Amino acid sequence: MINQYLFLLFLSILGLSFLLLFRKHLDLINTLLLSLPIGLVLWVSFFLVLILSGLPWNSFLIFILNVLFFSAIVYLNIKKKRFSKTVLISTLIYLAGFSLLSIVFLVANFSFLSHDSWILFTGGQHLGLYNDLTSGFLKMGGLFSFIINSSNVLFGFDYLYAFFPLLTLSFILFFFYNLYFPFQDKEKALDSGFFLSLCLSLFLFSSYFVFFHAHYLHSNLLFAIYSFFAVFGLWKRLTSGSNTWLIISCLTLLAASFIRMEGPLFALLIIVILFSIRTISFKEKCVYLIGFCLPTIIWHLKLFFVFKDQADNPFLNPQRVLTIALLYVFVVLIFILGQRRPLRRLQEFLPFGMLYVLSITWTVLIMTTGLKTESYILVLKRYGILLVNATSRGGWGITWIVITVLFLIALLIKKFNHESVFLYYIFSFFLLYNCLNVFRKGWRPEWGDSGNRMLLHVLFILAFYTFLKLRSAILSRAIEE
Amino acid sequence: MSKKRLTIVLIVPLLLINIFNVVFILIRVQDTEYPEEALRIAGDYFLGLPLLLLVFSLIMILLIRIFTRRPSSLLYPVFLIFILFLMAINISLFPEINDRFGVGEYDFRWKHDASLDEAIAYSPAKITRFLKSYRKMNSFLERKILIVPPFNLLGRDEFFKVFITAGRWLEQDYVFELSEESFEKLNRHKPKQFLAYGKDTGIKEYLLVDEHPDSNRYYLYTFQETMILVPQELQRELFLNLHD
Repeated sequence: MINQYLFLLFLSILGLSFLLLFRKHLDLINTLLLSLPIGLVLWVSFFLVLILSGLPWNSFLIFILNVLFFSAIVYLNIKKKRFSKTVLISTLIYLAGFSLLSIVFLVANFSFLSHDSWILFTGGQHLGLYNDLTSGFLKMGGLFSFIINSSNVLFGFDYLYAFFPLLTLSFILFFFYNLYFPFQDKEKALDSGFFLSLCLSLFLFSSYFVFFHAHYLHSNLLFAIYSFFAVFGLWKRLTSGSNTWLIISCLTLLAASFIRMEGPLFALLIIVILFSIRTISFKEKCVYLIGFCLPTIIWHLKLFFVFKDQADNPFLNPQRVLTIALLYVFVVLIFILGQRRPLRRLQEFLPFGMLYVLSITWTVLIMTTGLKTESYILVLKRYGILLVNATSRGGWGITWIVITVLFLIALLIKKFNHESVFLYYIFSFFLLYNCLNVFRKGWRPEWGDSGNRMLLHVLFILAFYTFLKLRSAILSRAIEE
Repeated sequence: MSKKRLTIVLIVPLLLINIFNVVFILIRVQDTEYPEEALRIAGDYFLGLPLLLLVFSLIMILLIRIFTRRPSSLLYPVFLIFILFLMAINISLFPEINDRFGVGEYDFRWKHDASLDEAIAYSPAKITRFLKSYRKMNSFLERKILIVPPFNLLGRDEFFKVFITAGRWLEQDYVFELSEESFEKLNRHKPKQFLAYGKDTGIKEYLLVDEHPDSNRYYLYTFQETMILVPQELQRELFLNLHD
């Protein structure tokens, strides 16, 4: 138990030390609340560094790498005089709270594993024990979950279970804090927004499905949280003008794309949105693209060579892996070509292009399957089950009904700055989700259905957009009066 | 053309395409070679949709009226209470609470068998006793793979604590859980179909890898009561097969 606690504490300190480098542009509360998720991303990137350099993933090398990295960031923090009295006191309070909650979640173990998620656990163990990428588990899930589940083998604890509730709690607080102070100093006067923001944030986590996922050892909540950070970071970069948020967005997008197999496809939506933003300079976009595309391409090429002789997998086979790598090479090329003057003006409309492409793809898919009766029956059943799961059998309670209604209302309310980042992502997500649904094979009218679990991936982004708009509308009215 | 107008021009066809897609899916219900089945599915899954949309619309109209009404100083507290009320509904739909008050229906309740509590204590000796009682359902594959009964016969915490602890203690690499269906099947009768792993290697016992009827997944069925020995290379094959 103590090993697990120390591992979690280390992740948090790692993330915190890294984020303190950007202290000038990132407020302290966000720094603290992001420390655990960012620490985990850094941890996963250590894996990529070791494996892609041909070194083994073992505790000795991890220790060496961590000492080097940690010394470098602590040195930079000292040099930049980041350890002020306020920072130290806040950090101590945060770490005390973190430790207390870690112990609570370590003692009260409500973790849950199912048929869908056992592979993440056993695959992680296999990775930790043998450093073997060839035994097939990588074809069943994203790398991220395997790496975090290999930690028990490396550091000698039973299995990693306290991480999920801790991450969820960090995220709830982050969601609430940023709903309360979305535009930093500008709205500090809106004190009355405290309870409203709190209630809206808690409403999101009052559904059994989300509550359950805080203890469910799977990848959906991770993906939902990291893709939220990626979209939020992009939006925050536009509203605050700070490039730190762009770094956070890039890191978390990279994490999200490694969490689930379909991650790179959904990450592409955010990349397209990034391309279209004119206020982000070419240089910034280049850094973002290099930070995201390079590891993605290299990793998928490596996977291609690992899977080369295993073409029979229905999920991630060599063809699909190679397609993803080539897709991102293509994205980089498009980006470079898109800088030419006549094309540069079209960049702004790229998200619309993406929406059109996805809509037409969906049309083609349902028309081609819809013309064959048997395929049509399957398609009908798949969409029907999604609807049934979202509204009654999926464990969401009334969450989706309420969020849908509120979202429709929010669309009619006065815009906030750069809200299109959220809207483009939400609409393109649902279109891509619909396209993927035409293909999927298994479905169940219950919570564990993969289509139902995928709804979680967009929920936080959708809810943040909706709640922010409602909150602003209600409070501005209250202040006017 | 102004940017706003251009955006509208771009949005309208996009909306039309997607409305067409939804309408197409629904219209095909009657226009199919199997209208009965399509109608049954539509009835099962889409029947509540018009009602739901009606409720959506009513709530929307109500809320929009609240938003546009003047003076609306009551808006903030009303909305706050509204959200608290919705939160309470959501919480009331938690399965445990649901069970007690009998609202709605959920598929994922955890069953807990209290009689197993005593067997489940986390020392190696007690685990051994516990595992012995389940020997018929458990197979030790060269001390590498431990097959365990379904978690919902034990309760979620116990499943993890017992089997992960047991797995580590017995130096298992993998812990596989049997599905409830396969567990029941195993108790009722010996499966008729099975994959003869190791036929050529002279192994007398077999494992059955069968397809789950609902989800196209493979589950592992133990066939015999006794310990099953699988050579190292077959373990690997087994692992790969389970992934496929």
